[in-house]
Amino acid sequence: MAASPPDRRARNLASGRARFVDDAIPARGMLEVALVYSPYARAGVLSVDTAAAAAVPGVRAVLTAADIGGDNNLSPEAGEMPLLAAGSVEFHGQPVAAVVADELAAARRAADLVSVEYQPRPPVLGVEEAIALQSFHGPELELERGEPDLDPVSFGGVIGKGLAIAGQEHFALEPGVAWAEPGEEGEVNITASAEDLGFVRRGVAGLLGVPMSRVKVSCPRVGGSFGGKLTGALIPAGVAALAAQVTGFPTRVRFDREDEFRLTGKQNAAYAEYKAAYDESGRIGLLDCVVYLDGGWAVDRAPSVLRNILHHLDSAYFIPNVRLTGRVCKTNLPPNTSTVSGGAAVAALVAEEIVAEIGARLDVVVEAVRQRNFYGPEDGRGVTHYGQETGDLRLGEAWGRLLERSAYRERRVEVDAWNGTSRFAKRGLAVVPAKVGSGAPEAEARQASATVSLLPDGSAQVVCGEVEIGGAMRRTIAAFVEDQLGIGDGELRITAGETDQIAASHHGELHAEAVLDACRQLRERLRLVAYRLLQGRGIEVTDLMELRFAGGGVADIESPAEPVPLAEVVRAASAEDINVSATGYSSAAEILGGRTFRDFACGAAAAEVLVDGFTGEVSVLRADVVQDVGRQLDPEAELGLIRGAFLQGLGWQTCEDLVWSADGELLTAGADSYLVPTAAEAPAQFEVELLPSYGGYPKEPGPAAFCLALSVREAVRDAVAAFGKVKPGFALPAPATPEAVYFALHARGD
Amino acid sequence: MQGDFEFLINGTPHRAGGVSSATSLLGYLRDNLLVAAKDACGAGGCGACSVLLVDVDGRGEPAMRAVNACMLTLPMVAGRSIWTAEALGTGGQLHPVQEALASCSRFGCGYCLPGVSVALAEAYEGRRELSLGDVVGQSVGNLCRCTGYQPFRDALVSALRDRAGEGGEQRGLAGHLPPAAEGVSPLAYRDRDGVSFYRPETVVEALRLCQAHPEARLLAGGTSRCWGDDPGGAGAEAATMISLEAIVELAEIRRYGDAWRVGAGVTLARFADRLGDELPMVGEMARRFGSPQIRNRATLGGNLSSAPHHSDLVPVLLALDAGVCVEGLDGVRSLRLDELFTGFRQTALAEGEIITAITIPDLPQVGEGADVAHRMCGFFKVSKRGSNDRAIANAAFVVELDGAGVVVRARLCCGGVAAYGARAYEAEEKLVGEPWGRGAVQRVAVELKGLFPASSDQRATAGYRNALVAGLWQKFFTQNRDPGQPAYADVGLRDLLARPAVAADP
Ligand code: FES
Ligand code: FES
Repeated sequence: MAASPPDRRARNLASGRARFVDDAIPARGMLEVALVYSPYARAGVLSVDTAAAAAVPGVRAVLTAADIGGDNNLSPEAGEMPLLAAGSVEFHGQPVAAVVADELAAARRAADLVSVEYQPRPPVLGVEEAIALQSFHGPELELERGEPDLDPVSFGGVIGKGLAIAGQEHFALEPGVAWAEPGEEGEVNITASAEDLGFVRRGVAGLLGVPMSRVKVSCPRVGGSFGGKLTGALIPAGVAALAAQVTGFPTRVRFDREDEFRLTGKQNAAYAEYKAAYDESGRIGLLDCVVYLDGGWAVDRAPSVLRNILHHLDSAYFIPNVRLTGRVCKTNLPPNTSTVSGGAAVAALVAEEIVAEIGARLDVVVEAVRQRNFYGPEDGRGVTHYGQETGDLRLGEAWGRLLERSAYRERRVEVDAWNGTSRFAKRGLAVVPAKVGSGAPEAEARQASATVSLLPDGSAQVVCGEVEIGGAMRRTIAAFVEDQLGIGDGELRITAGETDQIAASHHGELHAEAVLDACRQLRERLRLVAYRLLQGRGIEVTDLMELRFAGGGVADIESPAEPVPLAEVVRAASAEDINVSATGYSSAAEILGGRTFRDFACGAAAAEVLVDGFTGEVSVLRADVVQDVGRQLDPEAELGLIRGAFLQGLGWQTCEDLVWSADGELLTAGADSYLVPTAAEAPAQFEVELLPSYGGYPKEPGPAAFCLALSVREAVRDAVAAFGKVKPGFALPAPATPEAVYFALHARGD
Repeated sequence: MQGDFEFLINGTPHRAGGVSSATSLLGYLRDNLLVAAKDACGAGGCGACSVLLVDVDGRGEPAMRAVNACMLTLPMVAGRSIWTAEALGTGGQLHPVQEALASCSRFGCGYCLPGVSVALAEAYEGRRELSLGDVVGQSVGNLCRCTGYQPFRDALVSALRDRAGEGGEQRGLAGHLPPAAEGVSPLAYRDRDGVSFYRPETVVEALRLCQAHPEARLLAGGTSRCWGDDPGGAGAEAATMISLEAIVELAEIRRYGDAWRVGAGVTLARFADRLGDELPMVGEMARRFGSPQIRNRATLGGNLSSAPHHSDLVPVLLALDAGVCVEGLDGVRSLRLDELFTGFRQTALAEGEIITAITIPDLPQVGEGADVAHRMCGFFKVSKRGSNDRAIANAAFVVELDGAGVVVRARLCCGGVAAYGARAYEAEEKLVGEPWGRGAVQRVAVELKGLFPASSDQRATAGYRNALVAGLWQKFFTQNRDPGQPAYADVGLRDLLARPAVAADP
């Protein structure tokens, strides 16, 4: 891979000069906070005695729910989700009180002295228990098409099972952190590591009971989020703001890794129960599936995730008759939340399980079954179960390219031959597709605005609420500005990450769209000015509507080599009293235009694994990925994002395993017990290719890449089957840890 | 007692006066606005806090070692020299590995990168030839959630290539190393809370201190905290701490007659550097033991005295028939290693005794004229995550055959399963005198499965652990079915990783 020369931002990151929230100088010397955690997964709180803690030298305040002046509720959807427990605790580790002190050590000592009287109650743990107890949040969701009540047997074959799918910790490397400074007039300035500053602002204002205009939130950059710093960010920010409000001093809240594990929601665990009917060619005729999602005890983003799962249960496959139902379970865990794939991967896992079993039952190669079920133009097989056309889906192209570049067919033969010679280790090979809808902003963030100002020297400044996470959205914005106004990245300053400037939301696409709108307005305003300047230079303008804005100048399309410098155009415009600053606006409704998704990202991946029959260990020997990312702004970066998301998906399906005790305490609450993949777990050979770029939108590559890691799961299934000991449709647990793989091969106790 | 001490950070002297003995180096750095090292787990598990410590390599030459700053307390670095990611560059340039990392860092959050640059810099500065597997292994102590790790591999390879090219020798940190190895200086420090931190120079002094402070916590590399359930690591509160790091004798690796004598203070990294080639089981074990950062601090003596049941070191040393030298004020005694462990995290060390050395006798001659015609050795480890994770079960096997293919000696050693790593004497007995073949192996497998009382935890069930003991044994047999003939096909993964990272002719 030929890397392009690094920029300053990259150099600063690599050498540690780049500043994250907790690296800022003002954060030193602030008051610090220690939380008091519930030791029960569910209990009534009879009393909280803070006197002994408050008497510890250096303690400034001991905060409980009673100190919250506004609404003690963080839930972005309907329902209650208190910051500090009030009356009852609903998950193990839930914060009951917060001790604010001059130093962290004193705060921790004092936190141990807060005495809370609990009345334990039996908790609801796990989806299955919730189903048994009918413990749910909100109504059932349903999605139907065709005739789901047809007799499945009439299609030919019927399969069905229940499948438990584990959740996943986000495990952003930077734990949650925020600090808050009280202003002179009752306002609060917050610096937080957060994905959505507008959401933090609204949440904090609600907690403190002050107008949103009194709360300013900024964020220099985020050390990873993956959905974990949406609602998750509100906990440190909320506690810091409350402490600052009550004590009148700047306060910093830093989560340690264990806090991050115990306090914040994760990717929801799920349980899917399905029945699928297929014909002798392997085509799925009917799918009836119920998905139960572990929502945790309060409602965070589970309803959106569930909706997204139901919209992705088709994966890349056309299914004429479907009935999909979903429920969010109420359990005694932290409220589960949004993630990289937003639930699409959970859905794809179920779809691939179905297809794999059909292949095994018909005893045909499973990739043929996959391909046969793809969306396609013929016989009305191009419309999803929610009525969206898949016309521009480039799945066939990605699939063909993948089979070719991974030498899939040759390797299939080679792997099968090798397996014939090896008794105790088997290789597995699988290729899976992915189709993920993009551009479907969640309900609470449906609009954005951004301002583009042209400066007299022809450079420009963009102000919007986007936060720097990986820089991908910056690139989109820079590309739009370059397209529209011909201003290069070097001449551009993009200010983001402060709610002060413009009400912020985390949906990058909306921001980019707003920038685009502003750029179009500016082009419109400058057109006549540029026309006059070109005329003044004796250049005939072919088409006033088709001026060429490029390379820092404006030129006629016929004579691109003779531009007027943009700086001159801007100065002339100012002299004519034309506003060279424009505010653009965009909304989700506009982007979607009545569709469920703006469009679809898709791709295909082939993975090869080696399974050790003595131990159940899996090594990923090779992975090939081909993806359609729409318009490519920075191909190397897209490749990197794909590898990163693929590895997260791989971790979810192999070594990452959340384990709770029977009392609902998370036992894997640290980097040494919750195991995210390291460099050695990445595929030994890892090739990624993008389909050729085309106009229009860039498509976020992460969600599809995350789903494509299911190729590893399917390759494990292939290898396990090669041992010849399992029946078609055998249960492969998710995640397929070494132990799970071992016991798929050997009966327990054998 | 002194009330302060000095150390170097990025070449600048720092003096810590009164600071709490529990202050971590990471906390100190960050409070002093050296914020490249991040606190992302505080327990040695993620590498985000990595810094370079000037130390020695396997040959005793000065070397830069990557260590986790969250696992070091400030008194542990008294008199020592630390380099942080901010200062790895020289002459206004970034360090070559940072430059290489920067060119592929446009899509991640970047939070892990300073720590990664430190880990990669260690490999760059180590000036050894690296295989592709070494390159991958160098960053298994650094978690990253964004990049998929390929950029780290590419960055190190490209920096190494650059190093091999013209002028490459000048780049990097070699200029920051002292000309000869400097020992760790003694220390007697009392902090503002009255906690004492001693770093004596001799074993006798250490023993006297132990006698005077029976409640004292002994400290070697200070890494055990990273494994979660042992409070003996950095930052734990105790009124007195005694570090064994300044005792020269404990850091030596020597030949004594027909044996190696390895000081208890030798780190896993130095142990493997020195003996990994001669004793392949040691090399293999060290590759699977924690991360580079952990191996750079964890010591043999520390690992044996804290006696974690999942220790990877223990089965290997048992299989090598190692002994331990134990010293107390009353004298010196030698134990066989399997006499050391008495229960879960319990040892036969009496109060006031410390382990000073591990002895590893040379294995008997193999071949013509000797009574051993073939020797087969193997180390195996199964963990939930293949790298940088503690063992669910591990095993080291040594089986010796006579010219007729009959087993003359066997040592079958397993860890991770029962309360401590142990030899399977009953199974060994079943094997000796039998011809090496499926029948005997199968009988031993059945024996092994029931031999160790296993327990369940969040990593694995007891049933899996017990099954693994037999499974690993069968795997060993499959690999050595025909003694002397490597039989186990591994589809080139091993070959791929063994390839040199920088091809001779790029
Ligand atoms: S902070 Fe994770 S290893 Fe030190
Ligand atoms: S770049 Fe984000 S954790 Fe490595």
